[in-house]
Amino acid sequence: MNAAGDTRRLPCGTSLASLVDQVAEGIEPVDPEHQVVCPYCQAALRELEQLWGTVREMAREDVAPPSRLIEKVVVRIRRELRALGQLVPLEAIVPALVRHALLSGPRGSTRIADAVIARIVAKTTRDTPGIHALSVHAVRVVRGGLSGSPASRGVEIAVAGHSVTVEVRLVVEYGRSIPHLAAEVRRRVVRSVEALTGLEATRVDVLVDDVFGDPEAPEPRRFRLSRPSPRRF
Amino acid sequence: MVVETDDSQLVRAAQVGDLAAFEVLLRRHEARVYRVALRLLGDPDEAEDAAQEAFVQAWQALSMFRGASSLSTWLYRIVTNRCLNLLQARRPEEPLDERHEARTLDPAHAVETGGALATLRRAILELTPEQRGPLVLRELEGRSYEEIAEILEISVPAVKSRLHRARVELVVAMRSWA
Repeated sequence: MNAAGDTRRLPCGTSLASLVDQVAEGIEPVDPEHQVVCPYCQAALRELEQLWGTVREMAREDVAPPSRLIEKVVVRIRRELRALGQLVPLEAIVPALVRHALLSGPRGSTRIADAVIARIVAKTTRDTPGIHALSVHAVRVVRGGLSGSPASRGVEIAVAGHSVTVEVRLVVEYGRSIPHLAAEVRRRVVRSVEALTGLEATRVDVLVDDVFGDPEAPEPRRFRLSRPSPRRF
Repeated sequence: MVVETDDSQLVRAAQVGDLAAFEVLLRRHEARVYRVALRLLGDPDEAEDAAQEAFVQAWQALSMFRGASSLSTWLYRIVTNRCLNLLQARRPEEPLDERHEARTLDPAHAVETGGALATLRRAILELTPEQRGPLVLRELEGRSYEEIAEILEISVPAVKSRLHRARVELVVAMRSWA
């Protein structure tokens, strides 16, 4: 602020500032008795009312935004998404489906969608010798939305921070030890989840839904083999 | 029957990548975001750029929006920050006076042609960024002290004292040209 005291104080000694606030805020005068009889205050108030009338007029002004502002913004966002390869509409359609595991670092965080983990689990499980397939008929309705993508059916994932729990439903080849197969699936899943995502699979449940290669089996046999995996592989 | 979806539902959809939902939000808020940029910067082209950048930034930062304040407060904060940073960056090497002398007109002329509103516009652009933010948000946008404090990330008493000084400066400037 400059030191031009004259412009900021009326000849009667009243500060311009107090009158400005009075007018702008519509509040009571600091010194009403002086104000009503003081010609300087009265003149200043009239002037300020007029100036503030202009401020209020400006506040009411209709300012139209440029015609294509939104379009330009949307085009830029689309371009950005395309560059990131992220323009996948699934999340947009079923927001509840998207869950992420979170890895925080000092220079930013990494979030891994549960669908990514499910795919890793599915591939690892299918590649295990003695596993015939993941159970296609075991698709569950996940969280009231759609079932998982075909690439990861038979797998369910729950993520919390950097921990993941996994359930795989599968069909084994007839004649193999099911407990051994389950243990092998568990070991491989823990290892590949950790190697590829840095997350820890703290629990891997294996549900054997069927066996393949036994023509006499009248209906699917179900063995549930559930055991926490070792904390660390 | 048309059901008006509220901001928070659209925000949730936009947060997981629904660009159409975000577009609805943009349309709802574009007028005020552009307007505040124009008031702060005084130049339509710069204001359009700032509004555009603010919206793109809002999309990028949307996952951080937790709904503690309303979306409009949050958007005000983004666009105001951007404009005030621009003003700060512009200030040292390019004094406002010269800039606007060239572009607009001398004060006396402004009064003649544009009248009181033109004088006011010019007076606002003479304020320092610290004063201009609270003045625009309070007098032109009609925000509460609490909301302005949130937008500018300063305390309520700081809002009041800056606003107080801004008003006096504004009056002094307008008077000197009248």
